[in-house]
Amino acid sequence: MNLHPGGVPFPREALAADGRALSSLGLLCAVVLGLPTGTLQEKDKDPGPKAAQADEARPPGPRRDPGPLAAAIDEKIDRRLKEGVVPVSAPAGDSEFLRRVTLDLTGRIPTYEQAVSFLRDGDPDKRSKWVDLLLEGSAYGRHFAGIWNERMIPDDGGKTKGHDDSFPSWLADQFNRNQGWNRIVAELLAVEGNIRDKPQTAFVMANSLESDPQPNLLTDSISRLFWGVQLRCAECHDHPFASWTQEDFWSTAAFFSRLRRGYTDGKNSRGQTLTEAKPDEPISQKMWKSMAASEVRGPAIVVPSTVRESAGKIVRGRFLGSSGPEWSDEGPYRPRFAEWATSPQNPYFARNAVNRLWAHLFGRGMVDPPDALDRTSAGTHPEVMDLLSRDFIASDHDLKHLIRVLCATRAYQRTSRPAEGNESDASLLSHMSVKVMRAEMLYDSLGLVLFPAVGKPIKGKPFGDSPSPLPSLSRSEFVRLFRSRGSLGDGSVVNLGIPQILRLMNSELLNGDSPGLRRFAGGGASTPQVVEAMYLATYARRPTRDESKLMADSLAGEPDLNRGYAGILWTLLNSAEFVLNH
Amino acid sequence: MGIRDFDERGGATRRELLKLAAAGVSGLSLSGWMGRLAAQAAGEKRRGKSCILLWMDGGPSHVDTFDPKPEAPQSVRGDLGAIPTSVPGIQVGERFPRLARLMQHAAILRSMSTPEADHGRARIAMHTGFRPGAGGISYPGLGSTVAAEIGQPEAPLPNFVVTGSPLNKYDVLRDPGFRGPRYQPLVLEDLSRGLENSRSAVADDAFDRRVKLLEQVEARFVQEVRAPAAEAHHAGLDSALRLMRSGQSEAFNLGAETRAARDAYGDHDFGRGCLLARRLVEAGVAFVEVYLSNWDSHERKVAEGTRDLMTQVDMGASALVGDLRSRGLLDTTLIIWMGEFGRTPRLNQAGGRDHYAKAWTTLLIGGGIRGGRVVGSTDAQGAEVTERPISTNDFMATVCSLLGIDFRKQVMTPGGRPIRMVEKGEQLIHELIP
Repeated sequence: MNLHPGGVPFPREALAADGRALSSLGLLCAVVLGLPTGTLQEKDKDPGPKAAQADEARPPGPRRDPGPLAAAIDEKIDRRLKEGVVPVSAPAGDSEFLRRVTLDLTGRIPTYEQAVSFLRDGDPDKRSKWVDLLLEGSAYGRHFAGIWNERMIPDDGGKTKGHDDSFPSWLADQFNRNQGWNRIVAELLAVEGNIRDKPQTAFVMANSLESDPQPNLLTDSISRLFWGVQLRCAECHDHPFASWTQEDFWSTAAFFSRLRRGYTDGKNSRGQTLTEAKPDEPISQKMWKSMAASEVRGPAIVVPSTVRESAGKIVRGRFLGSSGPEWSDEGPYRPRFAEWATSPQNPYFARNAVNRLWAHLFGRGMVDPPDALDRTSAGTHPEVMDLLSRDFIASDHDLKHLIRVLCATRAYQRTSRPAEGNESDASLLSHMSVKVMRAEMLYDSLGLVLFPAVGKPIKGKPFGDSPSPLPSLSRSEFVRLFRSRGSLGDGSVVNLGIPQILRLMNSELLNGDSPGLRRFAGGGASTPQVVEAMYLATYARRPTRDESKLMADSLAGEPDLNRGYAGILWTLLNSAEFVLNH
Repeated sequence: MGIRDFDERGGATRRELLKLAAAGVSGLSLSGWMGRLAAQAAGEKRRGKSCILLWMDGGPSHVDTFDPKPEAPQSVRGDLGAIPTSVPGIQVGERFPRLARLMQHAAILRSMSTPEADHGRARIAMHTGFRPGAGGISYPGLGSTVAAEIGQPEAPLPNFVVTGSPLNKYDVLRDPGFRGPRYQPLVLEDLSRGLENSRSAVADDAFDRRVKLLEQVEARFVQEVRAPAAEAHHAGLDSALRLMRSGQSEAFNLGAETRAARDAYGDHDFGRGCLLARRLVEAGVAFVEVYLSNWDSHERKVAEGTRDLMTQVDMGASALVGDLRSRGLLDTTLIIWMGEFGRTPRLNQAGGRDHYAKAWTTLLIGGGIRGGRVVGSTDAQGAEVTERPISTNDFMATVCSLLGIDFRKQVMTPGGRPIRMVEKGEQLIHELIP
């Protein structure tokens, strides 16, 4: 075993010319040393991340087989391609699939070890097993929590108070335990209690002004994020493009007119609470005084004065698109709204979840933009949308199952390389789209290459540990510098404009010494071995013969071999192939 | 978008060069090339016009700025008065004493009348000239259009730079639309530090070797996937390298200005943005956009905050006009001051003003216009246009004309669809055009 000062072994065994890749000794060595690991072999040895499964939010039962539904979807996709006479690209090779699915599900590239092990594995089911393994690790929940946290709590320059890491952690836990999407959202809409103790109050609190929850902001966020519907224009006038009326907007907002932040326990150190006031209960806060219609039974709202044409009008709560229900009691109304809002009776809830996950994996929603479900409800593949949303409801809103289905499709597993004649196709899924990472994904992926984590692997949690931070730039600072905002609610992607490209090329970020570089370049391995290891660590693939030669030739005329190797790694990390998800 | 469109304009020369260099045929070392570019940059000055867009994000009140209504009741007039300007008969809001003295170079367009009153949609409309979503096409903003039409294709500095703080949080304005990634802007968020990292971290020869390798690796991958995201990265990499090689990143360094020069623009990001705009235009950049946010004054508190913004505008813009003038650049540099719409003439109950697109005001300065005039007018309340309504496409066509851009020309989209740069039905504001 070849240990370097950094404590990271050069994985020499992986580079055997016959493609035997990583020997069991090499793998063991990687595991013992705690590289960010998790390979199929390891899983075979340790047959169950039991600890993780014990936490599952849903009752144990036979796992639904994603195969048949995936095949049904493919059949419909292929038929549309045939009808459009659009040629279909080839299936993605193992490297392409591995890198893509690892980025999509865990927000980071596969490690060197994972690439070597996956490519070596002869198991015909290795792709679905890899998806399962990714979904069992905690990085899965963290990745999706980061995405949803950003959608739900837009960065407002610190104006929204009371948020720390607790909400993303709560979300990550929900995703990792595979809590039903309906339950997660219902909890966000109906949560009561102490704001500090309950991280899930963050969604309501993010839709506040000066910490007072705002029914109109909540209506806008809920309809956009959880229903894929833009109600916002209807706040002030009937919607110009969709058929929503002002009445539709305010009848949804009505369910939040009694929501209040207060001190039900008195003003004490335990802090403030979110509660729903009873109709006859005096509301002290000035904002709701004008909005709750106390003389009306059932949820109702007084349209505020800022909406001039309807100011002062009382609008009763009803479920969007229906005239009901009738209300005869004194509340609380929010839990019943939350139940309906996330139920199959709401025609948008499941479809929105499906469409957003589809957009995440395929780079574009079947309905695009994602908040136009009401306007272009047909989308590009209406039958697929129907099949998936029905199945999603039948599975009790099982996100991991939905992911397994989508990842098992041939459409997802197609190469991103266009074939002759399908270059301009962006919606029929003839080839995979090239996606831009989130800034966090690029940072974590750089960390995995340059500063492979050394620490104890957590049993059963193959992706349990975070990638190492880059010493010259913190993750949050990197995100600040490299993030560009997408349109509202779509989340952000990494911004690779000229200042960012210059920073990547020329700052200390990719120019300093690193254990990742030393690990590959410092052990007296041959140049082809070093080049191959660097390709695997960055692109999850082996170099072609041409590439290998190109890289080796670049060392000619370079007096300092290490600087030459550093240049090769620098080149790979600055390239489109590294910074994009393809 | 396909790769062929991406090559449509101006790319060929450099691309050919790159290919030759990559293939090792040309014998042109990258350092030699770098030297050539630098020499070229030093020797040639772009002769076309430039444009500086001072973007007032959120939508300033026309009544409180350049269409004051001193005779109207307080509920319309607000708390701000009007002052005379260097042009007899023209009054502006009291917060603009410096610009008032430069009115002979400016034209106030008081009869803007546009269809969009939502920030997001109006922002797109007033940048692109089209209503968002029209025709299912992603339209380029004015900056990308100007960069593509009158920018110097192989300029060492990007032809389109955006700066200011805080920047608009939505990405859409940086989107070059169907013009493609070569016309995306350089966005500089932190003005105080100039453009960082524009020098390589390793020795020149080592950097040349790396870059040569990177350009080959990049070209190969982009050729393979032919995806917009990959092409955008490639274009960004090209621009970044060109900038490095030119040695012109000094144009971004405000520290090179004297203390007095910096003070004249004001100690705020908008002033610094204006100063940067002047330096960039001097260096040949075709389009600079300087953001100033927080004009969305629905409530009294925000409305009061906009008074400070007005002073920032007054300082920054007047220093900019003065500097351009003393450098002989004012006639070739068109300055546009505008937001996405105006605000309701009548104060609302919260003591602020709401969105209003039916009648509002923009300002044009320099660029060879026939200045010292007001175009159009509104009624005594500032509520209705009474004379010469200016639509979005009237405005865009006029701006293009002033910049020497043939706006009637059809531009090919990547899908092979010919698109007119400005929507049909435009009426040029002839009285501004010399």
